[in-house]
Amino acid sequence: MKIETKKQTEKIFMIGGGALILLFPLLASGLQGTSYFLTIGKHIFLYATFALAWDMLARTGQVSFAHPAFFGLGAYFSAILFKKYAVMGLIPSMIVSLILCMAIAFALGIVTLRLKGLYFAIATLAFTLVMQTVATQLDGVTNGTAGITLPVILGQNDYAIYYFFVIFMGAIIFLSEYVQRSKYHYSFTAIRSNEEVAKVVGIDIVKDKVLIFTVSSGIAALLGMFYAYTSNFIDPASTFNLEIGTMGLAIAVLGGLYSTIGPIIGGFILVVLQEVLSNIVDTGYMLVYGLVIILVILFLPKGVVGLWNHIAEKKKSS
Amino acid sequence: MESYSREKEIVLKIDKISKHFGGLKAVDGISFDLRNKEILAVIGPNGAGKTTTFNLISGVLPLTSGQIYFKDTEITNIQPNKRCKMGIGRTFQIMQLFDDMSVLDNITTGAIFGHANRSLKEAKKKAEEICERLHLTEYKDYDSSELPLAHRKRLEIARAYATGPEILLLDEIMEGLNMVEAKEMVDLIKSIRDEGISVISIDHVMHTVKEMADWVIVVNYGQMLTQGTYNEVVNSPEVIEAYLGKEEED
Repeated sequence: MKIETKKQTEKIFMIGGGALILLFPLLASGLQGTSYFLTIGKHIFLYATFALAWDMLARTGQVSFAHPAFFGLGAYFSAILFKKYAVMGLIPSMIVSLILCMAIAFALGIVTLRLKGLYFAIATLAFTLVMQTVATQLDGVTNGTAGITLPVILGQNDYAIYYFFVIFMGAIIFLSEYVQRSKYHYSFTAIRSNEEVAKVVGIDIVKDKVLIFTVSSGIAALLGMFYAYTSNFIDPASTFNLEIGTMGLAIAVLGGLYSTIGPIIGGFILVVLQEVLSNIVDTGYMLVYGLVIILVILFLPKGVVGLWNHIAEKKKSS
Repeated sequence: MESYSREKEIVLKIDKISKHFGGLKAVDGISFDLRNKEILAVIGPNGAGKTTTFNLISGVLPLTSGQIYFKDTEITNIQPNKRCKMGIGRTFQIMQLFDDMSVLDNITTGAIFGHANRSLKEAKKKAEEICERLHLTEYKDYDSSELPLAHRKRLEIARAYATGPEILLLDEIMEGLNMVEAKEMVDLIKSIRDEGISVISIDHVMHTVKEMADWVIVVNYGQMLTQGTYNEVVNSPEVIEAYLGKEEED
């Protein structure tokens, strides 16, 4: 398939989707239940950004289950520093939390990124489970399962929270596109294709993998913080939540792996699908939801973006 | 009788290198050197240790013993990515293209990372030039997996060449090519040599060895059997025995 088609697809989705996202609150402002729709929007952007961060690492061929751990660590470090012990303000607590999370990710990356495929996935899964247990058991610091109640930022204004997540997602889209147009795109794709060959064409694979793992985990940590301060409450079950990790993976696969636009489209489809199904199927909607994901993965291995590319290429050649 | 003078600078010195996998001695104390602007062919039966020798030179595998020198620098324990940046490029026996990339991106990857400080813009420009030179321009925007065999082989060379090597290791690059394609490949390799790049080529196709090799080494059972010009080695009794077996005495 010609690369040109793939770039055109990204452009179409970016412009169309971007306009829709920006105008949506204005269009929905007259409708009943605006607040509900804006909250759905927030969830879409949260999950889509999480999936995009996850995908940025996946471009090196690494499937990580450590992202829920960094989501939780980000939320807890900041909450403990700002609320529990009140040793610093909100913004400084977020900065310190981000630095701590990225330092942990760097150390974890050095240790685990020499592992490949399944072994790396298992190591990161174990990390998340350990962190969840620590957060639950260390109740003197974390309040254990009782959790921590937090103030909601941005005056609990749904419109402000909506646009806050839009801006953050925009920033990560910008970062992802920067990566896609930089030397790292070539390095990550080469590493994913064949690590041995990547080495002999001059790529320092350990350095590049650790770098993107640290950045990607840092984004997950920031999302954890934003989730905490827009949800009013955190506990180990909701933050160190493997479901967030598997959802991120499913979103990226559904939308189309290794692209900026794929996880954004996937996030929109899966969150909306989950909402619609939960409203129309009384019980067991998660079964239907799971079945839909399985079917999509079976019949659309390159995701929605791949399908779009395929159709566009066929149209062009005919 | 042909004559070839090896009175040239040594660019690669292999000193008693060995690689053992448990009890198997895949490479067992091989020594040879490569001279500046030389095409050195490595021949030998299957399983003789030729590709393992390439893996040791390029750093894909660590040595069990011995030393490797690139010009005057010992590179025995240097990482493969650093060896590439120093000037050692290679292709693979089983083609290992980056199938998720276009033809041009494969070459660009070599052009970016084979050099310490090349910008992406410069690398793309270099890749376009190499595409043109290796007659791949027509296919540059296609996925590398879509190319026919001869073009995939060219692309392997193009990616290694884009790293800016002083030494190019070609692993069975003639395998599977028809006569016309093989002739074109020989011409290409000779032109690369004439630019000042030294080449080591593992080859089973004897007519191409004859046509392009300045010097030939023969390995068998992980050891060096003999070395010399093409005519010298093909007439060597040890080589004939290695390939054809020993004639029984009446």
